[in-house]
Amino acid sequence: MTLVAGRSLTFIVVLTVARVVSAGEGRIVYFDPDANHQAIVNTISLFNDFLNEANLGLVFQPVSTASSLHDLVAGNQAEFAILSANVLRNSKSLNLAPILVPSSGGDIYYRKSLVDAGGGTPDDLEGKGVAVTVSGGDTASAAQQILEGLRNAGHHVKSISVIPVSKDVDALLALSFGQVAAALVTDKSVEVLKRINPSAAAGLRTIFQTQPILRSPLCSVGAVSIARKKQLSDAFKKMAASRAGGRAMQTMGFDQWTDFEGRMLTK
Amino acid sequence: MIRRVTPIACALLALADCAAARESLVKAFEHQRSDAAPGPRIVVLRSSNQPIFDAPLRSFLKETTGDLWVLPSVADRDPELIGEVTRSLNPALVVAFGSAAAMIARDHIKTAPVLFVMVLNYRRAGLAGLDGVAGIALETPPAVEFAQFKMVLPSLRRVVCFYHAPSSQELVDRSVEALAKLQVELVPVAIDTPDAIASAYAGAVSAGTAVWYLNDPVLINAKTFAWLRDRTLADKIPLLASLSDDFAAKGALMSVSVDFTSLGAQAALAARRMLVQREPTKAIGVQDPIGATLSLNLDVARQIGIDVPAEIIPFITKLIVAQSSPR
Repeated sequence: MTLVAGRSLTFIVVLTVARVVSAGEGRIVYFDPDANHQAIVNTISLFNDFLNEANLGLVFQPVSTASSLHDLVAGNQAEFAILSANVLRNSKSLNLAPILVPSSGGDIYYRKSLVDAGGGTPDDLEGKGVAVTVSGGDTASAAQQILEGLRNAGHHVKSISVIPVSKDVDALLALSFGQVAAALVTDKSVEVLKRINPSAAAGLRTIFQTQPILRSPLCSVGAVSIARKKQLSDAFKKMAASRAGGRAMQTMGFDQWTDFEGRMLTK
Repeated sequence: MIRRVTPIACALLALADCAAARESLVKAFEHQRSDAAPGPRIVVLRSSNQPIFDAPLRSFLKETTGDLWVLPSVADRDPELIGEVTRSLNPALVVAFGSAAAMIARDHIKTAPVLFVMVLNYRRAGLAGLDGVAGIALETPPAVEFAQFKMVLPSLRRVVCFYHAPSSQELVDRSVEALAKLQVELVPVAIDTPDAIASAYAGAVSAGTAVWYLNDPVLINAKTFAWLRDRTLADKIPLLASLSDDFAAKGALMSVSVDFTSLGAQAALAARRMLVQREPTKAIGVQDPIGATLSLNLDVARQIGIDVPAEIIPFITKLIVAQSSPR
């Protein structure tokens, strides 16, 4: 019989490219592990319509793993990047300079909570399924994050099974139908569940809440001139006024771009 | 030239063919051993090499430790022989991806429990209520569908559906009960033929209702969809569809279909419950799939006067916007 060493199946890492990047065009590469990546793929054309309207000479390209982002940035194939604050902190060698941060209702941070259905104790999560939005199939990191949060909250759970979902609402519905024992979701999605199924939402118990998570900053990559950064910054601050840009922002869950300040990353 | 073959030669040739087929099948199995955590032996059968199975299978293998043997496709192979070779591997569990693989696992491997994944309409396929058979269904349950629809239409209270009773009564009964928990009244209208939709519509649908184009094998066709799409658009009635995101792309307001993101991990968790936590197959049962793809046609929403709340947009899987031309 054929012996396959390990699991050599290769992940498809680049989600979609709206069009081939032509000469003279740069790329904005996008990676956010908490984003609804299927929805983001649908946003590519909207985002590119906005970039085209603003005459920025850029193409928007989401990727589904941090390593894909690293490859494109390290290989000088991106002029700008929108990436999660956590990846930014761990990518000092990539020469990324934050310019803008998205905000929603004036808040540049979001929080995630581990919620369960309220019965028993959180220690009962041992070996159980927890639904989480995971991009790039990185369930191991998600499991580690949850176990760490549980430990910090004083609970003794050694292992859980992460069930990846596309969007937070799926995680909450799986919890309310008893398909998983807990869900790691944004507070905003709990508000949505309260509206669509108040009785399911009423029984939810928050086990722990993460520290505030900075929304994914827009960064320049390498040596980008001050004038170019200003051109981009000015255009993005008007993004909400553009029909395509506004829709793209809605899909991505924010409504404005704010100037980045160093202290934002340290919170 | 006609070649004469004696019965003995014929039997020998058949034996040789059989041996060759067995050898070819044995070679086709891929052994994916996890040396770090050997665990129980699991045989995975896949219906075909169609790409639709790739992501769920990949996720299942990633999340499962054990002595894994994978047959990449059962297509064009002798089911009895697959059963024989699988039995000879003495697995603790057989995981079948797709209907063809599930049928083989059910009929030709009686020595190990079976977990099926990606089988469309498992009840009609005869996989419901069997001893030693658990699975992950492929159809999104009505409660999940309508929870997704209600994100966009929070005031949804009354929904009409047309159905063919001999085909869909059980689904309709389940749906009435499930939707009531979401404070939605489902008004089922039984009809005998697809052509009867037009006459039934006038008496059943009024302002303030929505129409659900449910997964009814007799009534779903291009003609009934086009008629309902045009009529509901003219009447400014939301048309909600099941089964495929194509319906929203072709003019329904919304559709909900299965999301393959979770299937592999969900199957891996079920396998772990069976093999590590020693839960009986009956306790696992056939589970609804976790997650759903919600597709919303923003142009239809605008045409029928539905204002989609901005804060809901990030929770929609696919936004269909005709004006936004793809480059």
